Parts: sequence; structure tokens; C-alpha cells
Amino acid sequence: MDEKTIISAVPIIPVVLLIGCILAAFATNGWDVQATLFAEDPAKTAKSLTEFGSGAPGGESEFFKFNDVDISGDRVTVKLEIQSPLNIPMTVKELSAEIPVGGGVGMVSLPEPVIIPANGSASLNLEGAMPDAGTVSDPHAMVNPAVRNMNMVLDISGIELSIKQPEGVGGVS
Amino acid sequence: MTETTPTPDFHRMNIPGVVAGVLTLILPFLGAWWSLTLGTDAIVVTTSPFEAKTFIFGNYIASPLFEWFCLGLKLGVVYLGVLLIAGSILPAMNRNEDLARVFINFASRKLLWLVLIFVVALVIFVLLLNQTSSVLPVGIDIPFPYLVWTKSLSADIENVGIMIPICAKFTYAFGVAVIAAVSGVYSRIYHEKL
Repeated sequence: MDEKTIISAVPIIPVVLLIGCILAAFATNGWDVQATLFAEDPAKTAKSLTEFGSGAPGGESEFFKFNDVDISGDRVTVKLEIQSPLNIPMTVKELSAEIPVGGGVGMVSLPEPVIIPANGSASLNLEGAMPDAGTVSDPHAMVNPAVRNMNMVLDISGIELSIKQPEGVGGVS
Repeated sequence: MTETTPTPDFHRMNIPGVVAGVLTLILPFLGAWWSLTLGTDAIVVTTSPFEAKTFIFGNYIASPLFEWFCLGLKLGVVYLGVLLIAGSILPAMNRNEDLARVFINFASRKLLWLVLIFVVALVIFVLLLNQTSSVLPVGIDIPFPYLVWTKSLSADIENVGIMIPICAKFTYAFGVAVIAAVSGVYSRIYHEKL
């Protein structure tokens, strides 16, 4: 190869490399523009994240499931299940809520932080004392087996999220 | 008559060019130049002209086109490194002086442009990010940092409070890129003096 050919090829080679790579991107994805631009449907990813953000903690949410209420003596235990759509684990650092028991309202809270695995679920046992004996006619008569006025602190890989359910709005049932 | 092989004269070797060439060759394999982290690893953006990785709550946001484009840039930069080394060594071999000049002239300033374009692109990227209100699922505007920043931000909106540690920094690979770019520019000046 003579010198002149090499000199004229010098600036062309990187352009050919770059164009070749762009063509290869389309070729390996069947010349589908969307598949070439995004490996996964960005709308699908955004949907799972926004649903989680808007679903916590009140209202009808697929991420919170009210399992059971257990009353023994002067203690009340509420069992909740949280489903995480995230690909990273998160920690429920604090969680407290009100629960109607008989004619009164009990206050339950999480005794210790609970880790929810990535894309998994965890059961939360909220514990608390029964409301004053005088206000409760029949503790087992649950008027509305739902927790409400929930306050929650989540730690999502270093991001701390405090969510407070507005007074009197919704509930997890 | 037989053609004699020229004796190497290492005093005529373009040392800054060799340094720039070697650094340019290894640069694509040193990883990200800049990283932005929200939380410990809730949202991670690592980027360089050869890669851009974004993880949002464990979801890897990938673009095959961009990855292939980065591969093209990677190959292009390796090519520049080879040209710089070849252009720096050829004068020492007392041959192809014109070719050496073409190699050095072509490759010496490209990396500097790449570094400058990267920094400008980064500033534009953060600017656009700050204009976007729906980056996070909680829908809270976060003033993202420009280039280098470590801070914890907190915001309260209605019934949601959020506290986000944010860290943006350049990595050592960016330092290597700057050294390679400066060496490349200097190699051009040095080459004129040979």
C-alpha cells in the first residue's frame, strides 16, 4: 500500500467504524427502530415505578395487603403484606397506623425495621395496645377491619421516603 | 545495490506522542469518567464517551443503538492511540516522515475535543434532567448537581417527605483522559521541533 493511499484512508477509517457500528445496532435488532433505541419498553419500566409511588400507602393498592388482625389480652397485632416491584431491596424503617377495634381506635406500629427483598414481599406485624377498656364494648367486633392514618418511613437504597396518609382518607383493607 | 535499513535514532522519537498514544489506547478500558449516585445505589448513572449505564431502582436502562455507537467511539479512540504511537515512532526509524506528520496531525487533538464535548454534553444532560419533573416515581423535582457535588437534599410535598443523598463526581479515568488529551496536543508541538 503506498503512502498516498494510507494518507487518504486515515480520516476515513474512524467514520467507517462509527457508521459500521450504527448499522450493526440496527442489523442485530432486526432493523426495528424501537428495539434498537430501547432494550426494554421504557413505558413499562416507568409504569411499575410510578404505580408503586402512587399506590403507597393508602387506597386500593396491589402493593399493600391487609392480612389479619389478632387480639390477645390487651394487645392487638395487625398483619400486613407489602409487595415490592423494585429490583432492589428496601427497608420499612417505621410504620404506624390506626385500627378500629370495637368502638375505639387502636394504635399499632412496627416493632423493628423489616427488609423487603427485591421483587419480593414481606409480612409486617404491627403491634400495639388495645384502646382504653372503657371505650371498647366488644373488642372482637370489628366495625371496619382496615388500618388507616398510616405513617411510613421507607429506605430505598439510601433514599428515605416518609409517607403520611392524609387524615381520614382511605385505608388498607 | 541493496537498500540499507535506517538505524533507529531514539532522540527523534516523539515521547509526548508515545505517552498520549499509550494512554489513549488504554482509555476506553478504564471505565466511566463521571458518575451520579442518588442514595447508596437507588439511582446510578455512570458515563464516559465509551459507555453510559443508568440504573433506576435496579432497572437497567439500556439502548442498543447507544451501546453500539459507544463501541464505535471506543474503536475510534483505539485507532487514534495506534496512530499517535505510530506517528511518534516513525521519525525515530528515519522513515515515512510525512506519514508520521499526517498521523500526529490527525490524532493529536481529537481526544481534547472528545474531552471537551463530553464535559459540555454532561452539562447539557444535567440541564435537561433538571428541566424534567418526572424523573422519580414520587414526582418531586430534584436539583441535580452540575459535574461535582455531594449533598443531601430533602423535600416535603403534601404528605410525602423525601431525603436523598446525591453524589456526582469525576473518576480517575477522566483524569487519565485529560492527561492523554494534553499530551496529545503537546505531541503536535513537539513533533514540529523534531
